Amino acid sequence: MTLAVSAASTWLLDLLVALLIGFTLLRSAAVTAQSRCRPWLVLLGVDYLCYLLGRVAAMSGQPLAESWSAVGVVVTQTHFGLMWSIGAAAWLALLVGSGHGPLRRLWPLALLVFVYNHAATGHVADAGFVSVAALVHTVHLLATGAWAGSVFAFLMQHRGGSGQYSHEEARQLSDVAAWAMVLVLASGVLNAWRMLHGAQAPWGVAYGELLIAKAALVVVALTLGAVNRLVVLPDLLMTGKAGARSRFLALLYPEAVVFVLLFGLAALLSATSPPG
Amino acid sequence: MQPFRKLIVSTALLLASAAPLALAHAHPKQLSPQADVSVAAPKEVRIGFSEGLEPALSSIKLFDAKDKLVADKSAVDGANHKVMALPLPALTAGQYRVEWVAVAEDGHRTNGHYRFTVK
Repeated sequence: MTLAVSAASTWLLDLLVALLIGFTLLRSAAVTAQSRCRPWLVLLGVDYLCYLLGRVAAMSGQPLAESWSAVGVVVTQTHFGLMWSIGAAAWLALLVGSGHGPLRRLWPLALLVFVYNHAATGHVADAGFVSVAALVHTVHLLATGAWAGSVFAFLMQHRGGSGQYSHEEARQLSDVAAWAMVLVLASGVLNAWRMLHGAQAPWGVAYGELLIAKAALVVVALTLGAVNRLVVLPDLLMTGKAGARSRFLALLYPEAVVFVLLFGLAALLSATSPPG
Repeated sequence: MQPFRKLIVSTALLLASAAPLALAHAHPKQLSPQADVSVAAPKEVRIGFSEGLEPALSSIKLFDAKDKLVADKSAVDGANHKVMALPLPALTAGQYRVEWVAVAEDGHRTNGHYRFTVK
């Protein structure tokens, strides 16, 4: 139960953070991004509480239903609790910044703090809050969020329509996704170098299968993205045909589904201990 | 095709990088007294772990052969968070069981137990 709640809340957390990054990056969407984000922010807040409960249960060794009693100790006396509190403050700043007040300018900074904090709270915590590993992982989370989130945000804006978007918007999405992908790979290679350095290969049955499934999904996402950028986008930009616009949008749906599954597998992996 | 192949290789590396991330569990490295030994009555149980511990959630408890709690006021070393110790009262001869819970600073929880005998 605890494992399921932890994995599900991490999954939703990563999805929502990706969506917020996507909304922030797509300029066309950003005009109204902050206020559009509000319902998702509220959901993020509820999820962040579930995430806390799952972690408290895991840390205290109590069943989920009884873990409330340990929340105080975890929040006030542990490294994770401090990180969670900073994340909660960043979330509050995001919520306030989603209004029309002068605090709107805080939005990108608050988002950055939230992501950095989330990165440093995960498995890189042993390397320290201020560490190259935490920084690399932050870039990784931001880039992953930008790649998936820009696709989510674009679909949310244009779903149902058969191409009511400009060339400029399509090109912008493709650029954001392409750059994000480069950063995902660069930060991933750095991560890999740090992690593989001196680590035992933890290839267990369930764990290994999850990793292989994840690898397969990444290849699918890469392929869909590549077809869209290398084949459909040039057609769209050159001819501007409605058919190309529909195809561009149609390819984003399976890509988004793949990202949703990918975040799910990532959450399962983070909740699964490799054997050995 | 070359850049695409590079991409696949990098992606595989990236995925592999996710695996050892979950390894930061605290495991006991040094036990004092050691497991399954006969010793003169020790003044404390001291365990050195592979990771720094969260003092608020980590603990050592000592039980006697009748499963009665003998000591549970353990503390993590203020200077070295990888070390946790449990001061003991004067122990009589017999077998004892040490139960430990270690919550690493990254939040992972491990636990275990072992026995030793007082001569």
